[in-house]
Amino acid sequence: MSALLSRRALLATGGGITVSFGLGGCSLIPPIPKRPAPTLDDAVGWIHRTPEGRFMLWCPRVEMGQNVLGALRRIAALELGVSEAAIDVRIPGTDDIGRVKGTVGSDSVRELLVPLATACARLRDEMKAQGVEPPSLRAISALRQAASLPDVVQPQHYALVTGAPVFAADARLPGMLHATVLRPPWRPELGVELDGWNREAVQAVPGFVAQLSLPGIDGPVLVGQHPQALFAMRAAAAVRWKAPAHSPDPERMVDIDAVLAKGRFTKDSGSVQEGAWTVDLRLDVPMTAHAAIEPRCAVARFGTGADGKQTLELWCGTQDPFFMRDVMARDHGLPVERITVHNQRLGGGFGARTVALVEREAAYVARAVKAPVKLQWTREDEFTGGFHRPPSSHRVKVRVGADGLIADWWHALSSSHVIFTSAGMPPWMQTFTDFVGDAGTSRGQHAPYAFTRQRRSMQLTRVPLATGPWRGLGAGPNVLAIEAAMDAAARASRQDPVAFRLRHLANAPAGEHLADPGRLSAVLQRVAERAKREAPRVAAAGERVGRGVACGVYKGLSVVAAVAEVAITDDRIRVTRLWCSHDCGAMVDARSVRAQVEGNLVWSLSLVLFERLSAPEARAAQTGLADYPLPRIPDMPVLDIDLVPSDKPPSGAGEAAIVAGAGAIYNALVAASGKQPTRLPVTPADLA
Amino acid sequence: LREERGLTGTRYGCGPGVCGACTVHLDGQAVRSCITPCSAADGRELTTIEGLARGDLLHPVQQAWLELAVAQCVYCQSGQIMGAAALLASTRNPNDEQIDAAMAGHLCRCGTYERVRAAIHRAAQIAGEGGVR
Repeated sequence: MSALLSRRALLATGGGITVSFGLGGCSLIPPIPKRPAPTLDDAVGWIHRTPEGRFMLWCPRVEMGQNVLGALRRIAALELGVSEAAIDVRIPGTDDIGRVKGTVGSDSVRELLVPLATACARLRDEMKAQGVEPPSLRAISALRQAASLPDVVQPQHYALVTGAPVFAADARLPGMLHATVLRPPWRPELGVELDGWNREAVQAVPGFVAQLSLPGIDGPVLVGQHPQALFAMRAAAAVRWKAPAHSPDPERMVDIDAVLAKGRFTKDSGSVQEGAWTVDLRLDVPMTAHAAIEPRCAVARFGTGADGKQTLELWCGTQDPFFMRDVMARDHGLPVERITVHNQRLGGGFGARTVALVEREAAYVARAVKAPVKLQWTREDEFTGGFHRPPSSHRVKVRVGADGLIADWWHALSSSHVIFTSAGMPPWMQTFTDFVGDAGTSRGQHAPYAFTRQRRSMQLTRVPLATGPWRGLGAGPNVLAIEAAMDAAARASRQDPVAFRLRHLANAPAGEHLADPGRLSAVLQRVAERAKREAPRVAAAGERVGRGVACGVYKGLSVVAAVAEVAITDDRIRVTRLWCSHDCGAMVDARSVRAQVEGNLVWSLSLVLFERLSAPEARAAQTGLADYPLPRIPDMPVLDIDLVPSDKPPSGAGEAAIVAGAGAIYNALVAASGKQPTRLPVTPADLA
Repeated sequence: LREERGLTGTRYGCGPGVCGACTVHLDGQAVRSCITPCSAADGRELTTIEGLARGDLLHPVQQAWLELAVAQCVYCQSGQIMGAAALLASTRNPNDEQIDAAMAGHLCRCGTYERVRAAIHRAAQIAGEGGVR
């Protein structure tokens, strides 16, 4: 009884103590992101008519480069029957609209088209009764003739090409101090100990304000008058950490053959027959970083409201501002009404900004020093403090029957958690979710083809680095493994890789994993046709060339197919051309869809040929962009992007193309070299 | 630049000059401000993204960037635009190889590279036509 009372008392005071002690062995449940589906009532709050006869649209999704601002403005304009120039679209803070879900999963247009168009229709028709079937909305009719919609220069882009302040780090507040965290290279959960740092030297730096140890922050906090002081203070600190006793290598921990030897899986469905296999293919995909060009930043300011009670304002770039507000409420014992999250544009999201990290640090420090604080993560912080796409180890076994069709298919996957990310999740909760699987990790593992028997096994192992959602989640690696195996099976049975896939799609069952097999066949045929029009590259001296194909579905809806052409020399792999046919239903803004396809194709290139975040000692071995190569402009293939015209509902383009781009490049490398690399990134040595 | 002058258009991306997001012009040359000490700029002309346009008149690179909708998240784009402007100042009509060589130091995670190349060609065209739109 007394323990219960004292816990309540602690919560009630909301004092400067992090409420994290246990009661009966359980920590408090952290805030969970709420994902309410958008309703008409929500949408009515987003669109307003101004006294001047213009319109103002609060964008209920986060802008991270996908131009959702433009897409939603266009939907509103179409429905209202006005030009896009008559609508000001703005990024809301949490005070400006009611709660909405975070921006994840490439579903903004798909989920918002009907509610937003309907809200605009109501505004147009001066309110009709609710609960009626949506009328034939103008916006939806207009989208059916997408080709007729002109490209419009977005007014916000003018500001962006002239360097306007639009990111969290651009916020400048009176009396603002600057802070940085001396972060351990290992996750604190591993039992890292701070050995010490040079406090006297830090204090001697001009601009020094404070050095603090705060619960809730993983290392010493240095506070300075200006960012220059922070550089000098970090150097002067010369912080020392004691390595943890155990520092296993995540790549080894997920070794699929070790898992197969044990014969136990977190999730296992379907069964296959025993016997010899036509294809038995292993593929190891390393951990990868998000590597957005903007290292995250947050500015926090506590204040006092008119009623004398404490308030908190936060400037940040998060994919989920309402979740962020919940986290702040919990951290500081404040009701959500007293907290405002001023969300900014994100300099790249890609799944990285779905957890509260720098924001919590900034707020704790602001509270401790009683001043507004800007906390800018360094590039190194992004590698050591962020979470990453987990490593995955795959074995795909395929048996082709006498008729040339696949009778048995077994995809065994060993990886770690994505949706149940370990970042920001207390250890007890991680253990609990270990049993429930992870739909993010298994995304795309359900092959779209018709096999007589299909078994899908997945083993999840917590690894010592934080893992979580990365663009496409598991779909990139999983569909890459599927498409590599399909090509291997086609080769083994001497069938053309496109015809082989089409045979297996002809009677493919529709389901949640694939809404419309016919559309997948169609997009595969389209890309094959387009690639055929270009004669294959003639190999120069010392060069080997080849083409490869891949196709796939993303979240059961958007379908993509790609052909890649590669040229390999002893010291260089080049992707010379990439064709991509992409069907994501009706497109609100085809030019922005195309931009997303371009981006996903660059990520495909990067996944196969560039990226590896290794951690042989349980800490990020790469902590800067110089060590973590990414594609640059000379690496770009010639792109041929074919956006399939469609009047089907929009189904998302933010991540889809990665399911085809990666497989096409990998299969082209196999075709050109005759080698079957078993690990990524593929290097020239792997193909020698 | 960012904190004392309030010129936040020049971005921090990495610190050791790898990504190019911090690119400014020093006497018309593209340099990485993150690794350029203030002493090196002493007495010289420094231009940031905010200073590229002439009042309301955008630089041809900025015009082309808007026309071709190059930017996605925008974070690397100040640097890209400054790099492109410096290239065009020295090379009126760069070909693809020259563009790639000049712009190879600018990382873009959103993958806007194809549009960057096309926009530089377009900017050269606009500049050739007198630069006024």
